[in-house]
Amino acid sequence: MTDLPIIEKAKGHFHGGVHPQEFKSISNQAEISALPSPSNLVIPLQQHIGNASQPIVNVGETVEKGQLIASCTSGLGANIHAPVSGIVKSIGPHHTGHPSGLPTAAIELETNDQQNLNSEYLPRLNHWREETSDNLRNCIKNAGIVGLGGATFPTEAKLKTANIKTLIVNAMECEPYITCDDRLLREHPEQVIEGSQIAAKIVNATEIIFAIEDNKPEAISSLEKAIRLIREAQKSTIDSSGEPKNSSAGTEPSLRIVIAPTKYPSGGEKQTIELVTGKQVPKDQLPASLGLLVQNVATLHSIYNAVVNQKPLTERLVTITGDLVNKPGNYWIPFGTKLTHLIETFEVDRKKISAAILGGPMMGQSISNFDTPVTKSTNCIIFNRTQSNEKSWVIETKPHQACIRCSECQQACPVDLLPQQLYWFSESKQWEPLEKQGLFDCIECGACAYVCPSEIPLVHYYRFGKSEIRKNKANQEKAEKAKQRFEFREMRLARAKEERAMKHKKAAEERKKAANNQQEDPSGKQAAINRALERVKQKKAGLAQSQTTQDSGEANE
Amino acid sequence: MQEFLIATLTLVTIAFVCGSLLGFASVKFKVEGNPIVDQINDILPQTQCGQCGHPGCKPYAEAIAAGEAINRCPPGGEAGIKALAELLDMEVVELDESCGEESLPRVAVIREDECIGCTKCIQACPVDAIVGAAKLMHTVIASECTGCDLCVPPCPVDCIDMPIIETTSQDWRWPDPKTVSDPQVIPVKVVT
Repeated sequence: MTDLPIIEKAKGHFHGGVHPQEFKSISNQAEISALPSPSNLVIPLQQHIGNASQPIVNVGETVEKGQLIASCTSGLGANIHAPVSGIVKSIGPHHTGHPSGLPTAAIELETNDQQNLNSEYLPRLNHWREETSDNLRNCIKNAGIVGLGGATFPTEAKLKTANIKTLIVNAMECEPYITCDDRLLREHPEQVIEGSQIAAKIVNATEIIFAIEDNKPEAISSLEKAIRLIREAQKSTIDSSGEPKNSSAGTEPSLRIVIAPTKYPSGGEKQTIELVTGKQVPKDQLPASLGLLVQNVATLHSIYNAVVNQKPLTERLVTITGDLVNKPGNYWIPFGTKLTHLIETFEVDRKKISAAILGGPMMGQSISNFDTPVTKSTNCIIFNRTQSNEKSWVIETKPHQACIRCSECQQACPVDLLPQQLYWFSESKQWEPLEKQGLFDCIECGACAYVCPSEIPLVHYYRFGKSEIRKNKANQEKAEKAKQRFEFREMRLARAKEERAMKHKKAAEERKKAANNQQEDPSGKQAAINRALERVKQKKAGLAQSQTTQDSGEANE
Repeated sequence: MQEFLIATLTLVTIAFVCGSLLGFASVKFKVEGNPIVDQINDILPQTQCGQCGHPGCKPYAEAIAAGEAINRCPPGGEAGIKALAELLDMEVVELDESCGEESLPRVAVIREDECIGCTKCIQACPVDAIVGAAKLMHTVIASECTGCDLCVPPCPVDCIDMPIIETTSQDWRWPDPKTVSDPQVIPVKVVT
């Protein structure tokens, strides 16, 4: 096992992809550092896929750093912890950088001067090697860990998948500008590896593969060094004890690095899998169907922090970069830190920016309201000039030209779709053929829009199509429900009417029957009356007879 | 002569077998009701508001199948008329304004402290979306309400509002890129 080479070349390749200029050297030179914490934070209650968390603190309450302030009550979700010690100033709608610009629920915290009061935020575990998978998973759930690559899917739910053989650590980091995973691997490879070993233990994976692009030689060499040390340590325990004991060393998952050529978007989950294994994840299936689980570097580091240091997820490594930033680099930034605070700290000239990019320049979001806070999904913030004469990424809106069917986009699409067809159908609002063309397989990577010579905002057209189709489906569901309820009501009213009619009919029949019975019944009232009448008649007749006899007697006299 | 008889008999037999098969099929696979009515009904929005002049969507679907105009459904709006025209191979016409105007989706809200508990709205609701009992407060189950307006006129104290459903970040939709002046400029372009 230990004789396998540590570094391998990627077996597979994926269709399409683009090679944008990287701009990574702006931010990957400086060491990771922390920032002075801001005085005011806005912590959105929904920083993850699933249901929004429910606040469990009240306005005016003092919270400690690391204290649980909003919890996931039902279904898919994630806990949220206080990133700083402070006082809850308000709970309600705040601007949180939603693409719609609409406010969403958030907790506003005001920092007080007592920081780092509580050093152990989560319940203490035994060493993770001696813990059960359930306990470790619980710890990850309590810590509020979500996928930090950008998708923010709750990690605990992802770690529930069964039959996993291989854990792939996604260290591709293929988008321009972003360097936080790169720096993390350069400086703390052993922590990321330990995090991956914890994840591998939870899902019973037998091998861990670090997938990384070849444009990060420093990260690769520091990873290699760390893996070599681990292998040597394993070897020495095996050597000293003769043969591997049934515990730790023998059952340790193997560690490997797979290097892929630099190409965007190799960091997409399905693209990474195709690169590493040479296999495609079938449509509408999860990587688990191939026995694979993919986790991002930063996610594994936060798992390490939660399990080993009892630290919940309250901050993340964010790349602060761009040509307007003083001292660009990677910084630990607590969630809820507003962009205004960063603009001040990094001495960004506000006159020169109209918008910042949250995330990478390919898939991120341009934000012009600087009250937007950093959340669990923010891996990079770019402050670039709005317009520039130098060659660099700038934000500039231009009216787009017509599609000329050049098929550049088709050649760039990593999912092998036909982007120009998707565009035509979305543009003409033909939702059915749009869905049949595989719209929902689109990962919105932006490669098509990047190569488009007409500069059509293709991804926007796909998002528009996706949300319209989702709305139509929801409306249809609602109409179906209303139809059922209406039909049930009609049925209920008809039944009630029928029942009433039946009741009336029955009552009428009963009355009639009673009348008939009275006529027929000899012991009835009528019979008694009849008998009485009869008696009177008889009496009268008797009286008349006696009178006539008397009369005749008198006459005889 | 014999050949003539054989041919005739064969044809008669075939005709008889086919005829009985068809007869059997017409009994066995008999379609209940008019299938086009269900297809029309599936397109109608099921608000059961009666703005078309029929007591619900199904009766209107039946009326359309019998030849009534397809432009009498304001909640279905333009999209509904388009879908109906496509289904029935008819011309797209404008909404009949005598039936009402197309509006954004609404929901009924009872001002609960003013409700006197008369149950009149409960009887008017076509989808049983109002709960309550005599002399007790009523309330609307918002998720079941179709926004049909039918509960408003019967209320003797006018305590039912029909506000437009506000867009939240949960049900917000990406706008049509053609209608927005400033679409999301991602991916940002390299400018040389």
